[in-house]
Amino acid sequence: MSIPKKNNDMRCFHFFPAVFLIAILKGCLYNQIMHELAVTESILNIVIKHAEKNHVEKVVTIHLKIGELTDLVDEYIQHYFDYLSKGTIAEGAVLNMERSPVVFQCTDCKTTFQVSLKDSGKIVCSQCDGAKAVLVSGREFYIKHIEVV
Amino acid sequence: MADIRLIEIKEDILSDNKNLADEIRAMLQRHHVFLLNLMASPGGGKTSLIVQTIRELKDVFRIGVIEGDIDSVVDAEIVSREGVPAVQLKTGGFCHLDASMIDMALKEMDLSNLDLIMIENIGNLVCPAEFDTGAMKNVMILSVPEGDDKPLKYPLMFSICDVLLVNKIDYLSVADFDMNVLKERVFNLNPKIKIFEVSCKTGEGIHAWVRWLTDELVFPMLTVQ
Repeated sequence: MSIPKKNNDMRCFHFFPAVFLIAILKGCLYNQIMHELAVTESILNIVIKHAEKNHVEKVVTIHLKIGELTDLVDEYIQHYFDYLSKGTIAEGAVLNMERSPVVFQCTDCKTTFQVSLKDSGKIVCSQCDGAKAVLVSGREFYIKHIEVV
Repeated sequence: MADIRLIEIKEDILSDNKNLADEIRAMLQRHHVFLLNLMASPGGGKTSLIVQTIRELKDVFRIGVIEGDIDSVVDAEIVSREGVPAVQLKTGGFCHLDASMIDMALKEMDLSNLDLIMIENIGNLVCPAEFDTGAMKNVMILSVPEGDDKPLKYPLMFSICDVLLVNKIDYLSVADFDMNVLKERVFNLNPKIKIFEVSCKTGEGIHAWVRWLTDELVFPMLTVQ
């Protein structure tokens, strides 16, 4: 069975200038931020797809919704976006990243409560002190809308 | 200046990768091949666990391995010494494997002669958590020397895995590592996760892990055939 190829351009590393490649490797080895590049490329592809469908002249702002559980460095996303979007209708667009907090719902009393995992890591219901809870927000990872002219 | 319009999108950023991953899963199910995605920090014990698992199961199942590495073939050589086919993916800088890379690797493998394929993902606890590889199950290793605080630092990884293997338990007596605290932190993030305590060095706990994997392979096959 053959699977349609998608996203294959995501791996075309040898076409990148060496300086950029070194920056990527550094990021990967020291900060583990490499996945931002693949994420940025996906964002660009989706934005261009919708912009073309709507006969847009230029994309001005891109609004993203990203949960706090997702490790993304905002500056890198914008930086990679500026690089990748050169010569496209999305060139110069500003990425607006709205973060949604990590929210759990208590299994016992159904109260929802916000948690800062990186500070304490304790997931305890603010209402009844229950320790059993399910994640209801924090994994969002989508493009909300774009502003265009 | 021209008026600014708003276009609603509401599209998942990694939807292309997710769709391809779903196609890979469906294709492998038709071939009765079980794909396992193994993730861990560098040095957590991914290669050792793969070698131990091959030794336990190679008489029962036909096993293949996909090795992801930034730029070396060392792990692929270790694995192929065990006598199983191994495909090396050199990612040339990418620190995760995605569905399109796995798709390429699978095209190099004879699926009709395999029951189990293990993916050794790139060593880190951040990037691989974001990308669906098409695997049926996600498994991660946390080794004792890394510390029991890792669920707080890498919550996404712990929340997307079906199994956590706590490796190097032979270090427990000398490490400042509280197994109960770790389990509490992990279950908070992911109540359904299975946790096995193992040592790839001494072999302790490996049987329980292998039994889980065997059940995962055998039961779907029984219902399909």
